[in-house]
Amino acid sequence: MNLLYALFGTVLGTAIGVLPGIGPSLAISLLLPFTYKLVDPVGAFILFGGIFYGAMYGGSTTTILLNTPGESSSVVTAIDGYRMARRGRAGAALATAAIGSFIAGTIATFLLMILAQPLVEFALKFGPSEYFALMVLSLCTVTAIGGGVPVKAAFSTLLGLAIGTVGIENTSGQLRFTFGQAALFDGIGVVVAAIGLFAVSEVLFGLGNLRKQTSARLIEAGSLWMTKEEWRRSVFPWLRGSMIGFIVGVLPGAGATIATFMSYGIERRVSSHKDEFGHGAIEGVAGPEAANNASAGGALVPLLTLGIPGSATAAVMLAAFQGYGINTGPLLLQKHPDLVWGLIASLYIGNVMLLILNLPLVGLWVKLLKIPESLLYPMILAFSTLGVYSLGREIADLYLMFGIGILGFLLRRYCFPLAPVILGLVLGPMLETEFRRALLGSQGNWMVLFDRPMAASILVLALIMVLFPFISRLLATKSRS
Amino acid sequence: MSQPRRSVLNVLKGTWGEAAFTVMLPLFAGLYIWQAMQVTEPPSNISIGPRTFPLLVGWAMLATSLLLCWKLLVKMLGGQASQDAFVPAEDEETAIRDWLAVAVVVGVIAFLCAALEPIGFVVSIFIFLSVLSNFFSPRRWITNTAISMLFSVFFYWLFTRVLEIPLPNGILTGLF
Amino acid sequence: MKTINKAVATSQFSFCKMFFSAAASILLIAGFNQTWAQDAYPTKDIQLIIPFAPGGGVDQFGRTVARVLNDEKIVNKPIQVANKPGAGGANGMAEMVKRKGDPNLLLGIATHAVVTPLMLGTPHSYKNMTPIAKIFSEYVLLVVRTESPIKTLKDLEALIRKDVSKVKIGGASIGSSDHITIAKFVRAVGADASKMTFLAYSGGESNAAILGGHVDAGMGGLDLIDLVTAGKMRVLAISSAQRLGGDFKAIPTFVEQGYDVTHSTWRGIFGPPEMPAPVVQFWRDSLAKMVKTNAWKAELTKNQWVDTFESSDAFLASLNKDQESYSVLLQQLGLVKK
Repeated sequence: MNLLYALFGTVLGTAIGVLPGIGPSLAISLLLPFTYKLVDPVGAFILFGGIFYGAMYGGSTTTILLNTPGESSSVVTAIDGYRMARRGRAGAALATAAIGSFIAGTIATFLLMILAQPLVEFALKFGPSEYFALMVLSLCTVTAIGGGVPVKAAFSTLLGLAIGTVGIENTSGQLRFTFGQAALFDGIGVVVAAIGLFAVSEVLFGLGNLRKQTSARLIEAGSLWMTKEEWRRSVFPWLRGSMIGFIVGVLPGAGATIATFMSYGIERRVSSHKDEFGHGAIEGVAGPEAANNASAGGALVPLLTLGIPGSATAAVMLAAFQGYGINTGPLLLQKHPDLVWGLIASLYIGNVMLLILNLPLVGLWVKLLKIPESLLYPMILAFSTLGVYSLGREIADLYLMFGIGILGFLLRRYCFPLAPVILGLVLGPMLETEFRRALLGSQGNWMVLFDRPMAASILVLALIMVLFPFISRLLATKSRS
Repeated sequence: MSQPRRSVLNVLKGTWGEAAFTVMLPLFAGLYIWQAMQVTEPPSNISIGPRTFPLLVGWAMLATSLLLCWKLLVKMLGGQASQDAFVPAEDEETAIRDWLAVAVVVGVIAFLCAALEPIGFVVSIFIFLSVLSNFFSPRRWITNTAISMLFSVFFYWLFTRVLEIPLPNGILTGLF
Repeated sequence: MKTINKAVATSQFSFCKMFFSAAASILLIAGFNQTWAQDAYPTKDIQLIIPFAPGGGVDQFGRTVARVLNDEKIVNKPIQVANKPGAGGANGMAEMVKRKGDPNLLLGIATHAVVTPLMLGTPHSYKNMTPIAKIFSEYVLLVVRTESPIKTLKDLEALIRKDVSKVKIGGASIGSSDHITIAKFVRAVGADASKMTFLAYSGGESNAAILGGHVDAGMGGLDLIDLVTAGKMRVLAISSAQRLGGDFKAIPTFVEQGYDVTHSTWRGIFGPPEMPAPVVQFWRDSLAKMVKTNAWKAELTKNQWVDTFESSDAFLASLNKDQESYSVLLQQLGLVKK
């Protein structure tokens, strides 16, 4: 019976992930009333585990095939995944994402099982200064995205940071840049922005060339399976992505988006195919997709050990625990071992099911590209509308999405990269909050940002990340002469 | 990557468009800074107020956008002077060959935003899909119209009945 | 379903196309006549708006009320929960005002009905709606981590008296119950509440900051009891007027330790403005019936909610009292300008 729940969960999760705008947290909270009535707690959490991983994976499908990420954690996959699809390697990109998700999910579940306690001790050491340093480090990954025009990438990032300052700010509760519009009080939603920037602008480009193009924009040709070379190039990104994703996921104040961008930045730095990045490097799909799923597993560590949710989805799962009358916290494992082990077992099973389910589906998903473009593109817009509207049932969000879409169209037209805008938007509020928390706590003494060993070492890492291209160029010229 | 050589006219068009867009950027940054200065500073003892961070972002944005303007100016005056700043774009990625189509899409999107609540999800999405698909491939109008109809009805049913997320009914109120 | 549609249609027509509004109001009146002719309200599905995203505390409250009312057959038409998140509940309140007089519409909200318009300057508050009933309250705990040198409330008082700005307190957002309660304590000790260092966290992040020692003391809901029984945290005080029962029996209140500090967050149900009086009475009776059922009592203990049912004038009176105390306090905190 529980197997059935796991199967149902993964199918539903994948379907939800594929639809833009509906994330796992919304799906689980919508299912809660049904599960209270129908299912015992163990079954419910098995179901949720399936949805959790399924949705994390499902998001990559539309991103790779259609350049339309439905949430911020798949944005970085769009850079290289979509280019792979344009080169006829959509099947390979989907396969590396599926296998990477499986490996990452399995590693994360295993680490969750054996390392939860020491890891949570480590996560608690992270104060405002450490988080601030971590945000700076992830911001530095844009230097890996730039694609040749650093100034434009810098502007994109700043634009994202600027968009992120709209709304009620956290630290002192003031309204900023809202122009008295209640629709802007909570800021511009990351999902709305991601769908606008990517999906809407993609449709404008697709349709803006459709009647006058010589060859189809979307290519479904090409072998579905990964070549030996692609396997070889995927293995280490999967493993590195899993580790990064898990560690970042454990930190309650970080999140999947940061994990995916970091993984991308690292793969770009260590890859021997640097120039392929931005043009369809398989490492740029394998690493971030693994990181994405591993962070979902990592987010369960503080949830199960302390009752502290590490992500929006984990927060909904916490509410579900409480709805069943189960007290979370450090005593969870002692009081309800069946539940915790049931959940962990279901995560393993869910992962296997996800793989079995999705590898054959790769062929089917790729067939999506056979839909005539004149229908496919309008349908993408219809899905986006549906997704964004159902988030808040607010027409203002639709106008916002299309406004941002036109902005994204202009940015793309003039070669500004879009992914840094999303990174800035996600990181901006966190960066500012941690920055101000740190300074608030230190009575305005700026040294607080640097005088803690962990914070300082992360900042040094960030510096290395930025300077890496210069250093390697310097070394290269030296060795040549 | 093989790409057709752009005509002189196209380059010009692209550059002027880019110039117009690039000039907007420092203006936007300036506007942002001005708005950031309007944010209320709370009177309590907060050493770093709500203005500091936006101002930092704003000034950095102004600096980068001015740099972009400068580079563009150099490029327009000096031809290939700063080649690395403006990589010749892959044509397929940034070119728009059919501006009429873009205008039509934007128009239909605006219609959808305005019409979704008053006339309802089913009808507005149906109009949206059928107008767009028939504009781009008029020969397949039967398939296009049928699929538009199916799509709007199916997703209405899925959301309102299965997921219980209310969608606007509009003029079809009472029929369901 | 139909009436919701009608109501949705009404609201949209009325601001979209002038000439439709006449037709719509005829529809609405027709709906009314039908309702009262059959004398068995409700004849249609009920829509319960929750002005926050699914999964949060208010959402849980709304969905539980809807479920218990239906399961216990107190209301025989389905109550559908519709989330309308945004702007600290202001979007939901705006929707209520837009659909005034609708007999099949309810709103489930918390203290935001008072605080949000004060803090954000949004146009609608509890005064623009029909108060139906306050259902339950939640209290907050003042905690420190087990390793902390602060053993009692007196220790914290001493630190605050020495230099209020040096004591870091963690909790939920600015203007939340967490913030307000600690501000009341700082004020009771005789220090300047606007000078205190309150670090606002979202979700459960404040708990991580408390456990990690990144703040000196923290505020949180009753669910912190899990961390307390596990020996990770120590409670200094609870914000209720008297001690609570059950797991909370051993926790002293601020009042019994000699500080005049009490605070509660209520959850309540509102109707739209100009809701027909018999309908308002129906809901007051139904909710009064609901809080007496065993199913509801089970929910209360499960969720650590404290029954503080109040309806009609008593509810309105306590809302007015809240309004007064909040505006004074928010002014002292420097969050609202006079």
